[in-house]
Amino acid sequence: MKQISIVVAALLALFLPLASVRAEPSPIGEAVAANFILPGYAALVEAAEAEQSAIETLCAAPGDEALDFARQEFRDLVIAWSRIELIRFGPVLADNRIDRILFWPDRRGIALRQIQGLLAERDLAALDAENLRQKSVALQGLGSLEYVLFGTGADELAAPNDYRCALGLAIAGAIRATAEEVLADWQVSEGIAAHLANPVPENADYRTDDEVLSEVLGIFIHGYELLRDVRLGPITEFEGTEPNARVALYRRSEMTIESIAANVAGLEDLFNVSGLAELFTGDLSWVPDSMHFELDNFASTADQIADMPIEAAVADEEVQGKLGYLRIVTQSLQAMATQQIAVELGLSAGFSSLDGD
Amino acid sequence: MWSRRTFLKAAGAGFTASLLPAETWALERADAVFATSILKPDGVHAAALVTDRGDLVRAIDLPGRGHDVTQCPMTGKTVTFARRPGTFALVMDPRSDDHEMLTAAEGRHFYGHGAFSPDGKLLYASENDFDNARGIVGIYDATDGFRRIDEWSSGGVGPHDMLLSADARYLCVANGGIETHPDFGRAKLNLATMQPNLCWIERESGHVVATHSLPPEWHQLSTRHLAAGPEGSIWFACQHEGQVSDPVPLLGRIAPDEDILWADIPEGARQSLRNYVGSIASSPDGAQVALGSPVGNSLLVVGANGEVLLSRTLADVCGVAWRGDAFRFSSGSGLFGTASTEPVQQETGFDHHLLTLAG
Repeated sequence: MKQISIVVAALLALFLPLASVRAEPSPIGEAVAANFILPGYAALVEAAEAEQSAIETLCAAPGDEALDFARQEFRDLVIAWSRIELIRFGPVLADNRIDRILFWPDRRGIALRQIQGLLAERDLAALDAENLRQKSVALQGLGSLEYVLFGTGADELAAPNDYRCALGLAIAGAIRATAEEVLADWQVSEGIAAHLANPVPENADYRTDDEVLSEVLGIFIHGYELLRDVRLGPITEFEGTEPNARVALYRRSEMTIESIAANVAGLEDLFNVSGLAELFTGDLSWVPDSMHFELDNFASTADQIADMPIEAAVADEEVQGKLGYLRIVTQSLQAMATQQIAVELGLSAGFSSLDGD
Repeated sequence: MWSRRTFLKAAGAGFTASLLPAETWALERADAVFATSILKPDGVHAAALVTDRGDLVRAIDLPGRGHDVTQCPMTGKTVTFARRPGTFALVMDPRSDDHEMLTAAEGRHFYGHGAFSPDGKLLYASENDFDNARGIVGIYDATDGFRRIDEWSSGGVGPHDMLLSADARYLCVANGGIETHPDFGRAKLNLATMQPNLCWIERESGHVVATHSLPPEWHQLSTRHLAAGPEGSIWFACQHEGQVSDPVPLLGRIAPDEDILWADIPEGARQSLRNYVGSIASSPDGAQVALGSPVGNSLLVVGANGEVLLSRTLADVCGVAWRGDAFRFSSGSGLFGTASTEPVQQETGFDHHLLTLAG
């Protein structure tokens, strides 16, 4: 046994230098936090505030115009969230915040059952945003708010309707509070934003530039996978599977395609403002060129079908062709991230680390 | 020069006939010592047998990405399972070119892991009854073309790795707690409510006789992979679904009648795993454990109390296995070697798990 210990000690001495880590600033990590994540969450807080205020106005003076305005602010809130929602690390993971803002996919229709239950029971305790936040995560996010504003019976909101309107106000308040918590955690000095900018071995989250870059690369890789499998997959005819409009996210507010377009626009923005785009100059300029080509294709195709109600769109053969095309584009954008961007960042585009199990 | 053929000739047919099946098989394939799933340079996934250096001996293309491999203790046949939510499993006979593809039952998909009964007659596979989000142990008759003959509840959601107990009475299953459904690809559907556990299923009855649940504050710590521990205990390794900065334990040990015993891995070493252990293997006495973290590019070997015996930075390392007197590892970027020497760089990407073949 003693001999083994000596061997182990010798091996430790041999390999610790290999395991030692580079400590150096990460300009890309810094740019991602400063130019994309912090402004993204700030915009989300603002959009939630705007929606809260629109619903407050609606509750005080119900009418068609006020209802339209509250619905428009909901759509803007969906866009603000979609632009930042593919950031799936850091404070948004704490305390189930990501599920609090958007509980999706909801295979068993938990959110729908719960919000319908609340509307039927008229539980007064739920009208306080803080109380609501103690309840099920499925009740306090965009899905529930969408049902209040667009679901069965929502037109009643144009006439005095104390409970439904007040519940909408509470949900908007809960979304705002959750978004504020995420933003506040990102703003902590010497917190996650600083660690992304200056990874050092003492950090619990980012200890090396490579770890920062892997996290950034992962946003694209996992983001496009999510759009393909979770957002486009269920509404697209693929390998014999039946598309199902009833599982389309935001189908009631007709924001299904627009939200996906905003997800992709967010990723495009991230590529541009993070400094990643500048890595590809000279011989490599074809990488951003072909990426922008694909992104433009995505945006223009999404634009052609965004205005159709999703039920009609999913059943339409021509639209199915376009949805299938969007799915393929997410695949090729993901491949670009896995291959070209990873190589340029000097990361082993190891298939284990990027997509584990 | 000694060669297997002249040896067999000299020994005569009577000698080979007298060997047990597994021993004959060991003589037949002297080069192939590990089984693993791979990604070939042409981008095709395959089930492979490789040498001690990671050189390919044989590869059979798969319809999708493979995951772990298990081996029948009697026939030597290997079964490579599809990674979740795949529906294929490849049975390979390392002695011949024979292989056959199994398909998951209707309404079920594989989770990438399985185990044989000690007599080699039954194959257990971790599966998902996805419409009901119910973890399943599928049971197959290895003596009858791997016909699916029964299924048990795994005792939780998202069963992943499984391992026979030392006395073979129980099948220990790591229910990772994560719900997925093929309609949504690999998306994790219940992160807010997941409740991972570890279950001991009595093989005789199929009943869950003991369950180790994780404390509520660690409900997002997905229990995934298992290895034999000392004195009949079982090691388990975890993947955390929360923030990478959350200080959660990643390695623990269980026995049917005892509480979970968490390994106290020193903080720096624990952090090198980035809250993600992709693969685990133990030494024959169970006193040393190797952990592979492709997310942390980290290979860690710890002792029974969590003390660090070895720590290496290796790109995309994940597969770990014990052979002879040392741990071996493999990586997604093609590295293959022993824990304490310079690795060989192969062109093949090695997937998450590495199995040392018997013999």
